[in-house]
Amino acid sequence: MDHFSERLDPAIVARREWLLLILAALFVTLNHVGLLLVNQGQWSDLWPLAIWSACALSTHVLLNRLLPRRDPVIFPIVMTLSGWGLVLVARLAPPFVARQAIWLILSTLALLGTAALPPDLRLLRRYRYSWLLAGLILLAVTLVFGVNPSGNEYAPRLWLGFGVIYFQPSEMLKLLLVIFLASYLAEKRDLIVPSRDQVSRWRFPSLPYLAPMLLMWGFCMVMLIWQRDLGTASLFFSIFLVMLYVSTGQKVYLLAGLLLLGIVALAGYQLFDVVRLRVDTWWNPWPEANDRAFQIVQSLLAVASGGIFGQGVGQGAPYYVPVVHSDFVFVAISEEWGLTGALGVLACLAILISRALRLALENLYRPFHSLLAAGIGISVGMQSLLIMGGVLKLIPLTGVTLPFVSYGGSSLLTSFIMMGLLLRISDEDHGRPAYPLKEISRALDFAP
Amino acid sequence: MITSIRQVSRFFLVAFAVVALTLGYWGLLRRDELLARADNPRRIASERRIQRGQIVDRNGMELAQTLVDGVTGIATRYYPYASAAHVVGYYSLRYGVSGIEAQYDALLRGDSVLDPPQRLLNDLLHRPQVGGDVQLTLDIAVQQAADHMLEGQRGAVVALSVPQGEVLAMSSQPAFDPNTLDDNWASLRDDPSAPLLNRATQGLYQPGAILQSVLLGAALNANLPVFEVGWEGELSSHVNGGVLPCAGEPALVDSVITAFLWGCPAPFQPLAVQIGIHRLETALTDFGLLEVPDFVPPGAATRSDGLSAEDSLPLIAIGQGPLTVSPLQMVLVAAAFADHGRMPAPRLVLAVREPVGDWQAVVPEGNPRGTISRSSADTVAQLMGRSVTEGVARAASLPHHAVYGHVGLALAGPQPVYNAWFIGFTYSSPNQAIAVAVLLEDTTDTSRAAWVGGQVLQAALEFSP
Repeated sequence: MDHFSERLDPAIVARREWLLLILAALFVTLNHVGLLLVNQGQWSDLWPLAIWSACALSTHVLLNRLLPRRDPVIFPIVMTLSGWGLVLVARLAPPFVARQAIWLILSTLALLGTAALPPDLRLLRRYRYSWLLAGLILLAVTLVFGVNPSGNEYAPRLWLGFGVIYFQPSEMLKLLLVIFLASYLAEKRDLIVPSRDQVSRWRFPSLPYLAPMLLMWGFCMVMLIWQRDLGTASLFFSIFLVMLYVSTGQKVYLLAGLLLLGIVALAGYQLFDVVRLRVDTWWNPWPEANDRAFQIVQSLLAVASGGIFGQGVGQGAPYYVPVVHSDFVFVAISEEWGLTGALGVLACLAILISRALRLALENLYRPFHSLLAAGIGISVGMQSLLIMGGVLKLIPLTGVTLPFVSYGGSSLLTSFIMMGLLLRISDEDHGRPAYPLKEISRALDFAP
Repeated sequence: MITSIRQVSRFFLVAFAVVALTLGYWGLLRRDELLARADNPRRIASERRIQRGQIVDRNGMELAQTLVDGVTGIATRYYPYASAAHVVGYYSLRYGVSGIEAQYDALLRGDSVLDPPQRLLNDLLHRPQVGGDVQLTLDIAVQQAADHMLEGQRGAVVALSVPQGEVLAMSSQPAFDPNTLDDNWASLRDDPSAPLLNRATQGLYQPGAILQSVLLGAALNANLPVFEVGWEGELSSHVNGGVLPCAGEPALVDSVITAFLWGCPAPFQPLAVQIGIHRLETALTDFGLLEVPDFVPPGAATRSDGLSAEDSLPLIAIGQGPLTVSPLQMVLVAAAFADHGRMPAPRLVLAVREPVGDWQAVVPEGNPRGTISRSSADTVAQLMGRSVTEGVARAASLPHHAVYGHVGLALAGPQPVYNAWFIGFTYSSPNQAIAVAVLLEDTTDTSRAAWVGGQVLQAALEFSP
């Protein structure tokens, strides 16, 4: 039977998602109970599990009505990862569980709200400059009024505080950037792609591309200089580059962008302590294992300690890694769930990305939707790679969160809205893909 | 766009595979090397959760125990009797182990006792490692009495049960508190009076006049007519510009025998020449003075340059030659005279117990050995008795028991610095004796040495009859 005709049957979609959610619930419950037993806690300590279950169940039921023909894989994976994240916060930073649970409820509501948008997503497309402006204003406000929840005078001030709740505008800005780029590129790509006879020769990039690229580059420099936020700067620039490449297929832009990135990196190494620190401790952390490179060395020790099957939930010692609950959550998984668990997270993220890219292919007939799906996949993928590669000493460390898993409300909220958009795009009953399925399947190497 | 999405999809596939391989690289390939790093906090944490076994004295009193924090699982080593520190030793994450803690480290940690499946199971369940227990021959009551007698005086006391050879007390002063070792390490290490040194086994001293019993025994064994040898002349000996006097103010010394009763060195110098280098060397060997005792605490020492030069005989005769001895060696000499010439093998550990199981007796490492003939030994013992009743060792006498003892001074070092020795024994029953050796540094007060010896014998009679 054809994949798309299955997708068209709401009963099959609902059953598949339900079965996958049961698996997710088993996994999350097992871990919550395991943690409870290790901590010798009360049964009432399981309330985060109850909240998680309520979120999963109600969203499943509501999605059945809102988007009966959605992709049934996305939501269970999202809940697996966020449930895992909740276990990790309970394990690594117990005082923050309540906060994270509230963010989970808010994020679920946001996912449902996004899923309820009209199918054409005109709201996003039409007001793209307004969205971008709003994002930039948010950034400007953060530059002026930003705080750091830790209260550390010298830590980057990337948050806006509202009483006990802190919000990181750069997360929302990332989403707005993806939406803006999808919309901008969907409209302008015909203008910018060199005509067929020009492809063979090298050609100076046309202004409509050059302008936003330079704008983006300048924007990342601002992030870097003013906020010392290496992670966001790297992430934004890489999302921008890859989306540009996807929309045009022009490798020359990719190369030009990498060249610019190289210049920024070189200059950054000379000018900024934070860049020098990250590069030095990446290249050779061992001589400074007790000093500047303490975090990365402890991170690798945590991975080593995990081995194949890990120490078991609550039974390792990942807390030796500073800020393990946010940026270094991946090594906490490696220590307590071992390689098995870490590969599980990798697999979950890989499936999500492949679903997003598959949606991009299925929606080629409407470029905005296609580019939006691709952009979301790229965003989740690049962010995961930056932080996983960073904590494993594969690339210099840039402080970004691991989507869905890390502690942090803004990150969770943004990721859930992105998944709401993916679910929205996946539920299309009007119009068939512009390309035959066979070709799509061949195009995607790791699509299931 | 279909091609570029395909390329992006490929990029992610490769990148995720590289991340997976990197995970395997750190988590499998480099795992052992990383975990063995000194800065791996997990090593210290798991070490701190090890529940070391107990060390108890012969009556089951706890000398070293482990207190476990119920919440964190962190174990703390606690020594209720700091006075046994030199024997029990210390356990410190920073400074290692010493004494019995070092010698039975594997058992106390529980390293040696687990079979691989059991170890794997414990590892899986994150059970803390539990160690086995060690029972010492020490009697903490006698030990505390010995410490009390020595208080404020650098020196050592060893008390031994005869013929079992079980060490009842082994005191070395100055002492240290193993409970606060980590805080005081630097000052303990740099203290010129060396509180970390176990003087009873590691201290090497000139025997001086305390060697006279061995010499007398050797002469009797060789059938030399020691009872007929008279003496007229100086009683002190001259050693490299220093003077080694009698152990006390002598009454009347006109023979080798009276010289023995008063611990006077000079008359023994011609006697040694009469005994001869070979018979003397045999006697010193038989009394175990040229070797490390078949023992126990790591670091026990002796210096056996051997006896070769004929001209050193007069110096050996007064215990100022190349030979140095530890108080442990001298208590064995006393024990040999108490047991009619038969020298016991010393032992410090009675039994051990695995984490699960019963106490298992520990077979002594050495064997009892013969020294001199029974009659020669008994004659020397009789003279030791007279030394307490009518000689210079009177301070050792006890109201209800006959004490056999001998005192002697030794020159220590080039400056006129003296150490005072006492060796002695008493019988609690015809076949059961207690032997003691006392060494006091930097004093000529041999009466105090004899008094300390007597009091320790008294304590042993009371607590370990």
